Amino acid sequence: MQPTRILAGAVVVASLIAAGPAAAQKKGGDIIALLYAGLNSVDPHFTGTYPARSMILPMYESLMTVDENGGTIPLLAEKAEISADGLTYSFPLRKGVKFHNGKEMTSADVKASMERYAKISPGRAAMDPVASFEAPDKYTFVIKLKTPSASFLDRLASPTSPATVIPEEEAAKEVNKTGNISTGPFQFVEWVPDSHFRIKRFDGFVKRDVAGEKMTGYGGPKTVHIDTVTFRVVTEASARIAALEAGQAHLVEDVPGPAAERLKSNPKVRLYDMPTFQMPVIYLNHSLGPTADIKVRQAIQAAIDMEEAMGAAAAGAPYVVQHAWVYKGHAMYSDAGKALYNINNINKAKELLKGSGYKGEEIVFNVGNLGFMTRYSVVVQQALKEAGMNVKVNTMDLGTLFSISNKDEAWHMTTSGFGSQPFLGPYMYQQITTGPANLARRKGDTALEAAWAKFDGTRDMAVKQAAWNEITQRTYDEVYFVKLGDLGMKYAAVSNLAGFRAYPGSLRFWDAWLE
Amino acid sequence: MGRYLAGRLLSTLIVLIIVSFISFCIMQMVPGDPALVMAGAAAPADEVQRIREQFGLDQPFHVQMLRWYAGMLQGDLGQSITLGRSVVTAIVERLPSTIALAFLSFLITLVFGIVAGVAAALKQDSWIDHTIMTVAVIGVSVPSFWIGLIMIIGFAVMVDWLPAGGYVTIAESPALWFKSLVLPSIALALLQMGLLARITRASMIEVLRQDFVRTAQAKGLPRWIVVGKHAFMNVMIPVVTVIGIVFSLLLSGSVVIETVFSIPGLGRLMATSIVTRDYPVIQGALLITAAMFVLINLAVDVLYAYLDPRIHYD
Repeated sequence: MQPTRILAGAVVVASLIAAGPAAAQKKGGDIIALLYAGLNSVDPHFTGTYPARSMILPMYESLMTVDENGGTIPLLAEKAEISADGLTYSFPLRKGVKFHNGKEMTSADVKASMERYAKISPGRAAMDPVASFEAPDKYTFVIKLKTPSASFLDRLASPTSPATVIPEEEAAKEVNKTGNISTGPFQFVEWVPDSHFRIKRFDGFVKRDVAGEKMTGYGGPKTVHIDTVTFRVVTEASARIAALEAGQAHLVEDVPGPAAERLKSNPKVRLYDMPTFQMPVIYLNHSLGPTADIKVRQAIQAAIDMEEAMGAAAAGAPYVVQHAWVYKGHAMYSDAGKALYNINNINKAKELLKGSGYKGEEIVFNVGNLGFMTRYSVVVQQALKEAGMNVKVNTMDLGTLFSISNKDEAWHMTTSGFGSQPFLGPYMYQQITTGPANLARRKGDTALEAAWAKFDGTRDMAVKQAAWNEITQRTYDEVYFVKLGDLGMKYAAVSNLAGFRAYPGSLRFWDAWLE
Repeated sequence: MGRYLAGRLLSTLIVLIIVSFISFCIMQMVPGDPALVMAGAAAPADEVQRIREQFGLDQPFHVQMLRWYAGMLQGDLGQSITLGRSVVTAIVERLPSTIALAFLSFLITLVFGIVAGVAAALKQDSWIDHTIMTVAVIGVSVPSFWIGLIMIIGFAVMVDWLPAGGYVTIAESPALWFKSLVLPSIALALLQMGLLARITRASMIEVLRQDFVRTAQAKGLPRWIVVGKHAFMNVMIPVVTVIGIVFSLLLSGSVVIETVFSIPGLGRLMATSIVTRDYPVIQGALLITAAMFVLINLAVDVLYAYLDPRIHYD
């Protein structure tokens, strides 16, 4: 077995970057955080949204997790050891870690949790390469793979539908029937759907204690100063801001630009920017009508002014106009695809259309009823109209949008936004660009599949980077999606909330305190 | 009266069966897949299929419907797809806040709507009448979510008298429970108040012109007895009809107000369930709401007989 030096290095580097403030922390206090959306489930293996992570991940921990930049680091495992043939993953577990019910976590709990995850989680595809889960002794957990998978560890660490560890007896329960018990720094108090979700500090929490590590992402040594956190779901942005100004909340997310401008002059409020919340994109249907023609797709790609589209989408929120499928700062960031991003040339779009078989057929553009989608869709529609395309916009709720875009028929373009993909990196794109359910409805792109095989078949970072560049270039060349840019989010908090740091993963209230 | 009530209750049952059938059909026609919403747009197809099978969504329409009716007859409205609890539990958890909100709004509507309508009628064409009717028109015209937000800014942010949102149960603190309901109740009541004030005014003006009112005045009865006893009881027949409608509108209006004020009630449950396509919850919540509508109408009809001795149902 060879210890993964990469992981150990990543922890130290990320820890240095994420070093917390040195001010004196004060214990106690109750925080009320207002979220824009609620939970769809409290089951630790079944949730998969940003608001859910904010509420669930303070309570639950996993073997591996991600750092401040989305890199993979150990959490409940001391480290990950990968055999030379890439088929055996061994995880020495941290000793003395306690569940919220007081029981010590052992490999039996980890095994039962992973088996449950592989059975019921929406993210269970991560476990497809697994041949067996084994618990050879109390503090060692082993995963054996059928075939090597270089991104297996990243998938295991992913906080989207996280592979959390729960007590063995809890793992026997059905979906949504578990008792909210894990090893995290907070423990469950109550969930009143559509109203609030409350957690409190877990005084028996055993934090990671590894020399040189500091709190980073969801990992490192986490310290809780606050007594309780109550998450309330307030869908109306104005009502969230009003509650903060009235002193009835400590932190609100998704602050609209104009409200943020007004709050700047309020000494009781501090604003936080998170420049990388999501990536607005447009899916193009490769299986139907005009957009099945690559020239038409290229014309769409060429016509849009990304600066204008992102300005409209952001409406005062922070944004970045950049081409990559990952955020700047990610280890896999490169210039691949750059030449085809933000071409912003109507004449070129017209030329491409001339060379296509497009005869003015209707292009159905389905637009979700979220603010940023409806705003950027206006800019996109106008640009395509100028280029000579007959675009019909249908605005609909997200349930309808997802349902329609999941089929080959009845749409050509669809608004969307990638949330965790650009943060966590390349492996998150594999599922959505290949296989029968790929989001572009593309059939049999062997070149892309070969590039993914190359990416997944190596642990050599240089080869991996080259494969990722190839994947990026291919998706740009074939116009799988049109990326508009990186869209951020603003938070506002009471000015005496110290230690809070915005994070693309979710909200975090450990290592934060009320002054 | 007994036979009449029995007949009406039977027709209520038929109405509820028809309502649930129509809502079932509408949900089948609306695009959207709860399994896809739950698993996420990027979930693998087999996972989406697994969720469909788990909740019986892969079954043909008639099988799903028959299963639902069979459950309903046993008091089981099914299992929520997203909330991890039964539909009955989800509804029972939220009914107290919606009923409290509706009743408080109803009380405000009744007191202020009727008093304003009577005052406007008695001072017809005076500045009092014009002022009341102007406010009533504004109340009817302005959307309740906008009124709600303005009230939050005024009473929660600027003067900090009342909470900006959220709901406290009466068991936790009766005082905080009341405070949490004041702003949403007023916001919800404003529209209905305007409606009731206008109807009351028109009815009162008409009744005051009747011969029996003139006779009462000619007998030398004090004005408050003429208005409060003789005229008012006659005004109540059309007003009670409107009150029935008002209560129904308060229930439907709670969808918006509960969202603005973050109250975990039946309206918000329905709004959330529609977004997540939680079919069993939508179906159950619609059934309960329809039952309330029908029963309120029944209560109004029974009230007619009490208010007007000429009305008999036998």
